[in-house]
Amino acid sequence: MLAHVTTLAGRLVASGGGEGGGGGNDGTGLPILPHTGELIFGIIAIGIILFVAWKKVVPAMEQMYAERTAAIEGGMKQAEEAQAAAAAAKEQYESQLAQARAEASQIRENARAEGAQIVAEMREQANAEAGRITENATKQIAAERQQASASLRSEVGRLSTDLASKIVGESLHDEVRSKGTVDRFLAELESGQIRPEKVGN
Amino acid sequence: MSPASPNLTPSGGKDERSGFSRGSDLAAQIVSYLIAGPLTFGAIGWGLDALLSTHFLRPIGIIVGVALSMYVIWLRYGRP
Amino acid sequence: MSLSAALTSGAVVTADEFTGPSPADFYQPMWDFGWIEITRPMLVLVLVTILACWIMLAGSRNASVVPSKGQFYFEQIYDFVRGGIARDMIGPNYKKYLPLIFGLFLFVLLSNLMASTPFVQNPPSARIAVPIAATAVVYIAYHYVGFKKHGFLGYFKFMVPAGLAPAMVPVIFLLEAATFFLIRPLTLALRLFGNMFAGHMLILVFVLGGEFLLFHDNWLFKLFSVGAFGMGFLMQIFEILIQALQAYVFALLAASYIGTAEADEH
Repeated sequence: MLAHVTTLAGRLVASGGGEGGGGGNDGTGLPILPHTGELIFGIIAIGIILFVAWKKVVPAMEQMYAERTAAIEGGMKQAEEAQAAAAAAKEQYESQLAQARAEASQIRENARAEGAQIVAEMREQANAEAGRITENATKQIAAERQQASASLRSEVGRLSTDLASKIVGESLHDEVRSKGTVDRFLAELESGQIRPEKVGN
Repeated sequence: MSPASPNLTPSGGKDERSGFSRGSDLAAQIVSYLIAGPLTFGAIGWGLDALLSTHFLRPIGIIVGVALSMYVIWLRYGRP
Repeated sequence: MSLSAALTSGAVVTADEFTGPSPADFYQPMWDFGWIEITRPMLVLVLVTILACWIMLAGSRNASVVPSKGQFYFEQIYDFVRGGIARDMIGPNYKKYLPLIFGLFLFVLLSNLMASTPFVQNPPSARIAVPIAATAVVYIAYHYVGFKKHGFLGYFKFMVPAGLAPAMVPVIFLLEAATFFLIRPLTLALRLFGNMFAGHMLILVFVLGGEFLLFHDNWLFKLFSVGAFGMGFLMQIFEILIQALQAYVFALLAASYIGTAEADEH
């Protein structure tokens, strides 16, 4: 084996000499001399591949990458939008809740105010009623007193006339004068010209 | 020597390339310089030898070439 | 005793009969039309072209946001070149150069893999013409970019690193120009060629050696052939790694050269 390798190495070195180096157009040159046909084919092959890569492959791939980036960014944007929508809904809900609370408290306030008003009204009404009743009573009492006073006056007149006639001995009842006398007396009494000791309320 | 500017790598100094790529690239560039120096100045020495019919200029050219190669490598890649 | 005797005799025998692989084996003419000679690597190149175009078109046809299975696998390759090579090496303007880098990568990768493809077993990239063709495209591309970006004189000025003493400028310029115009394409082409050439040669050594041992009269040699074929198989696996790596390095350096030419002046 070792011999093979050394022979090979020797041949490799020797091959630069000219016979059978594999290079050049007839395979006899140095291995680093190109074969014209292969060089042309190589350039054409690279040209075709580069052309395809330039015209078809890279544009398609780059467009796809751009779309992918856009899709990822779009997805994120969508998520952001959804989040924003959720936040808006929450805000709206909260504002509605706050509004409802405010409304409820307003209603309560109104109710309280109304209640207070009703109570005040009722009180006023009651007061008015009470006043009225009191007034009525006062009026009635006044009327009764008037009546009592009138009846008392006539009674007192009659009594005094009776008394006087009993004292005088003659009936004064039918006398116009007597009537006038009693009335005059009573009028004087009322006007304060005569101070009654025990007559009055 | 004038003061050296710190920005001399071929890609403009700021190297953000990953380790393996950078290593392969650097190795290839350094090999290029190491070949270029002795070859260029060896050839110049050889030409001068032929012109002046001397024999010592080619080895001197090769040695100078190696030194210059190393200097350029140091200049481009060897400094922080 | 018997083993060493067998080995010695084997060595003697092989010196007479065994013909190992030689660089000439890579030259495989098929038809000669006079004005052009068709060789087997040329047919393989046609296959590579068809295969590359088919992969690209099938992988990117109806490219959709949610990839199909085929598109998914194609995207792995495309993404590797796009993000791992082009963007890393060229920088923000990398999209312009994607067709070039990706096409070259696929071409070199398939050319290399042809070494391990059954029934083909012959990498076009082990023929110097193919690396030269690929390098020529890179060479034209990065110098075009450089001259366009910096202007004719500006590009030459751009090659010399800043911070040099004026006396050093011409010397360093000579070195840099040689690197830019000569050594870079040379190493780019020869690296690919050498790797593929040597790798294929190595496999040939084991396979041809195994074959020779297998058909040898000596029974011990037949036993050894198993080892030789086994090594050939291991080398084949190893070579697939090298093939992919070399395609990567080729595309990486192509992108790096363009990135250098595209870089802003310092």
